[in-house]
Amino acid sequence: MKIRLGILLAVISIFTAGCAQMQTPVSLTNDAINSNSGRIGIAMTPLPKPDTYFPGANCLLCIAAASVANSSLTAHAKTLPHEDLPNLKNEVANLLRMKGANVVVIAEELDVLALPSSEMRELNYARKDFSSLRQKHNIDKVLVLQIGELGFVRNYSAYIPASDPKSLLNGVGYIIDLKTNKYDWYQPIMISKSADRNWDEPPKFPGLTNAYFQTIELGKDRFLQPFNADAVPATAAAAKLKETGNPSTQTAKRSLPSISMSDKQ
Amino acid sequence: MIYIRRLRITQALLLGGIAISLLLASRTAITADISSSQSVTESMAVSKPTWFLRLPLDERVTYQGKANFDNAGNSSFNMLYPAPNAGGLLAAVITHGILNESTKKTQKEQIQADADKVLLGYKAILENFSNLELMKLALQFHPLGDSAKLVDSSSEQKDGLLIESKPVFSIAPDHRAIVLDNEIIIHRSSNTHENVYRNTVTIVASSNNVIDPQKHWITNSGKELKTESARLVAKSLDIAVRDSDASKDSEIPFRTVRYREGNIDKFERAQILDAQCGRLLIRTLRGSLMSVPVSNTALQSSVSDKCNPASITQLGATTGKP
Repeated sequence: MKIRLGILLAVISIFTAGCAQMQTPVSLTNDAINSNSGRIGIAMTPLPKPDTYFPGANCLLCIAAASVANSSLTAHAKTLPHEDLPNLKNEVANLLRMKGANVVVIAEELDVLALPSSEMRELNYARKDFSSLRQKHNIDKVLVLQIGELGFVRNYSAYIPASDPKSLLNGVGYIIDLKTNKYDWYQPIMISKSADRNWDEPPKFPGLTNAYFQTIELGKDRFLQPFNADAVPATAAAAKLKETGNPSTQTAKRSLPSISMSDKQ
Repeated sequence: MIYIRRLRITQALLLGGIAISLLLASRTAITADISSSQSVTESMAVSKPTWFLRLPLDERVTYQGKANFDNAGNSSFNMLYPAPNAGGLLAAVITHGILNESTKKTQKEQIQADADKVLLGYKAILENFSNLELMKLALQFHPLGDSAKLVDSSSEQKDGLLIESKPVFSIAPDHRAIVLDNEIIIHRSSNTHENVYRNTVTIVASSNNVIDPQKHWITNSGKELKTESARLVAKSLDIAVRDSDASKDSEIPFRTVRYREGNIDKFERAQILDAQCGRLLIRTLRGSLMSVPVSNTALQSSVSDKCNPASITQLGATTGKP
């Protein structure tokens, strides 16, 4: 009996040990980005090439069927530009400078996956150890703009498309205090727009292409919005009050499988 | 002598009777013309019209709510098919597909029906707003409306320039924005050939800043709504005619244009063709035309608020283009 209980507990432990806590949003406060915050480095991770995504097509044959059915859309997605997304970190830097922050833009792309893992597993602490950036770039905090998915998404239920294709931008923005590896700000961003009228217009798909560029603009606005002068509360308490009372701070409804940005740190 | 006198009296009476009959007949015709609300041909006070505007097929002007389909479609989920063999699997997949398509269609119809609820407050006005009234008003706002003739939807092709339009108006949920989507066909015909131009012109009205926008539209039997709708139609016709005469410039780069629709910023990937009066005229990726109010951004603050006098297009001339 005791042996069986021990085995049961061991099995439960093995399964639950792998379960990671999902990082929840952390509101931005003025304390984190004012002139007393130290030197803030702004970096972006490599931008993904525009592509198509088919959540729900989980079996190998389902993936193959979805890929074939949407091959012309995938081919078109790969031709689309990033527009001025690479300039996003400069726009954030300008807004921070207007608030009196000491800012430096890190030119090279930040490979978060290459960073060592952190030992901390608590909420509001980064899973990767960013401390090496402190000496490398002479900064006290790092603001990371990370876009993991860009292009078009079409939900599937096995072999059957469950929705029309829509544009997609899936990313996250965060500020890490390099002394503690703790988040001063964490904001997931997911934008998805449908085509105006008909979507199925190969080979150029003008409706979906228009939605793609709309999504890029909306995504940029969402990344920049916390740094606009009116939007930032002075303290953490004010930030919490603002978050609970303002539905616009909620992220878009998500219908994708759990491809969490925090899992990639 | 008496006979001749009687003959002359008879002739005078006959002539007088004929004159009176003619007079009565013409009065009847005018009365019938005025009293008919759907006359076959609406005669404008134009001695010699240079262009014709055909009435849409629908009697009533079409309005709809502005639907947002961003959340349409089902979420992804795993599906287990009851498939004893390959044939069973195929049948299950086909059945799943049919049911799924039906669900998607129903969902989209529901989204549009929910958006159409914005029209509830306008019902009384829209029930009595005909395309005839709309087009007559629109011609009052068109720079060359005086030389136009309104013709019935079933009238045959006329020589010269004939414009057909199918206007559909959308009202935003906050009632601040009215958007016109007008499918326009322009026929230019002569003895030798016919030239047909087709395009969709979208006009986003500048938003009003009144406290109660719905009340603003429906007051005074919907006068503001009808007037604004007619202005939008007139503008769309003018844009279409100019575009039908213009050569397409493929050198203009496409860019993401930010514009204002009501109280929100919207975006369109387009070529900017013209910028004045605080508005942009753009050509979309589909080749259709849009006239939109600029958004208040630093990038587009250079758009002049000044309006250049509209150059009057020569309507009725055959361009000779294929």
